[in-house]
Amino acid sequence: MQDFHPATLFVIAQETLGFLLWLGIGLAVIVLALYAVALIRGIALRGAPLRIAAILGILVGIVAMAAAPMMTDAGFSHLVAGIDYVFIALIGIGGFVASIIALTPVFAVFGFGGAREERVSLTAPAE
Amino acid sequence: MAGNRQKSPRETAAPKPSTASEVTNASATGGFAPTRRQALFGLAAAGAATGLSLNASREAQARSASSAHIVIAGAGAGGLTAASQLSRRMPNARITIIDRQEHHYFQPGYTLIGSGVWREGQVIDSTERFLPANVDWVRADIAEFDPEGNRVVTSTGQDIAYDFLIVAIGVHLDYEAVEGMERGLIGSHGIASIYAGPGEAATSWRLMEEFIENGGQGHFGRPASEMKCAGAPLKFALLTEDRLTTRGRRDGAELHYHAHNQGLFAVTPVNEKVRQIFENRGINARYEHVIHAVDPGNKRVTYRTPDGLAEFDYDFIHLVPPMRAPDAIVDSPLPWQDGPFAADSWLEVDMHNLQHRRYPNIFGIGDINGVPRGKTAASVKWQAPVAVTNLIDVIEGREMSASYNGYTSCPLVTRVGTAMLVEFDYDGNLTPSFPFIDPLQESWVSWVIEEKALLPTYNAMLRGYA
Ligand SMILES: Cc1cc2nc3c(=O)[nH]c(=O)nc-3n(C[C@H](O)[C@H](O)[C@H](O)COP(=O)(O)OP(=O)(O)OC[C@H]3O[C@@H](n4cnc5c(N)ncnc54)[C@H](O)[C@@H]3O)c2cc1C
Repeated sequence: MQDFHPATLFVIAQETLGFLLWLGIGLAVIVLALYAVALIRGIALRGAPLRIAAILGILVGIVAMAAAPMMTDAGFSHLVAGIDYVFIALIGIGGFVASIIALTPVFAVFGFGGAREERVSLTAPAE
Repeated sequence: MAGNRQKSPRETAAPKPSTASEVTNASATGGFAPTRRQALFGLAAAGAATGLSLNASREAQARSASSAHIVIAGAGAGGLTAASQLSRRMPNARITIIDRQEHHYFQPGYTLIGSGVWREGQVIDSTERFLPANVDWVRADIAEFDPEGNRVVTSTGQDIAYDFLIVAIGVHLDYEAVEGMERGLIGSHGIASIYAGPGEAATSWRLMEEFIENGGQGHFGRPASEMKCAGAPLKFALLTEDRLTTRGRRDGAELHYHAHNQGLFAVTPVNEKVRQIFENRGINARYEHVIHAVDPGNKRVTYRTPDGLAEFDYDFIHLVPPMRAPDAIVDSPLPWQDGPFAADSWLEVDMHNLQHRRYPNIFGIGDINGVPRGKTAASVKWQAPVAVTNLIDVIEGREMSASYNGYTSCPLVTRVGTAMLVEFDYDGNLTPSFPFIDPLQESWVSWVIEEKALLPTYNAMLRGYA
């Protein structure tokens, strides 16, 4: 559908975020690279790194929900329609999910949380 | 650099497949009207809800290899959007835009400046930033339109011939039409007016703060003429009430809103909703009160009413001037000759295909158009692709294929923190872009759209995207 043509969305994102867009794109590239590293090195993206990312994700989600009205010159008293609560919830969920996606490979690759798994070689001869 | 961009337009028209005189006055087929799109895609899609939406719809497909010379009068919201779209869809055309304004102003932001939410600088950008490289910019006003000779004359004496003309020169704010009033009075004697520009909007905020401090009689209202963003005077009254309330000074002030007719808003359900809000928040509505004169020295204001002139004291007044076409249009053959749009000399265009009704090589976009409704930036979003598509159709000798349905939108801010997303068409039907946002319900989400999403989406529109 042309309504959501990527070029249009990109221009709006550019106008909204300015240089922060490039910062965001840079961070996204780094996260992708970390996923690639984890894949190549056979590092598991679960266990402690995932748990720590999830805990931080909950914090990020809560902070995002609390900060959102203030960042729009408003306060919680301005959440007056049902859609406002849905929107705030989506912001919280977004913060949570984004944190998990971004932080899990960081913790896994850099070994925070101590959950490095050994590479499992598919070609290793059976004992 | 800005100065390097200006090239003097050639005096002779470029070769073209169809000249102005060959163009037939094809009527709109009504083949397609902009359809409403309903989806959510983060903040960008939120901007869409305001009409500055992302509809790169079928209009965007029509292209032309013509080398015609197209002149665009005015580099505001309509002119810049048209220039960006034309430059992409007619890569061989010679496009000239004429406007003396070096700065571009995001006018919908004036309400936020006037209520102390934004700073003045947030609405100021440069015209040049939005101009595509292949568009010539003549930094002058148009002093004369000569549609018989297919030429315009600038205030600097340049004579510029065109094959096709897009008129997008906005409105003239006629402060002097109110007896005793002149633009220079804004900011003194309790006279606020966010319409005049970002500086005046900032001054209006200063006066509002004084009013909050001192209290007294607050006057608001709108002119009887056609006007841009008819919601803004209502917003300003509501924002004043909100600021008084949140500062704990509401008791010290009386607020009066003066409507030019029997309603507060032209669309019935919105009118009813606003009436209710005014009632709940103690804003007194006076109907059929049109501003006639101000006496700044004595802080008195006079309104025309069906029973004659009515005079009141004021301490703070938000004065919205009558609006009409700029002089260059008034003095030309281009305005309506009769009917409701003749008195203020609005451009005589067909309300659906936006082609001039007597000069088929001329199209209109934005506030200048003599059409019912449609004087908002959101309307420009829908009008520009219609005018550009139909212009290309005419150049290519086809029947015009695009039609404008009167889409108008104005996020009706009710407090600093809540708004209603009001969107409607020529027939006064509410046309909400998002089924899950009730246009008649105040919400924080609608405020977020007004405060955060409108400006970037508007800028994308100027760049020919949204
Ligand atoms: C206080 C306020 C609040 C608003 N709120 C909203 C809102 O919430 N939502 C919304 O959608 N819209 C809103 N608008 C309306 C919106 O800004 C206008 O409808 C929109 O800018 C119209 O675009 P335009 O191109 O027709 O006119 P403009 O953007 O005004 O541009 C006209 C251009 O023509 C130029 N010009 C004038 N005379 C000549 C000449 N003789 N020769 C050459 N150039 C000339 C001017 O310099 C100017 O650059 C608001 C407007 C105001 C003032």
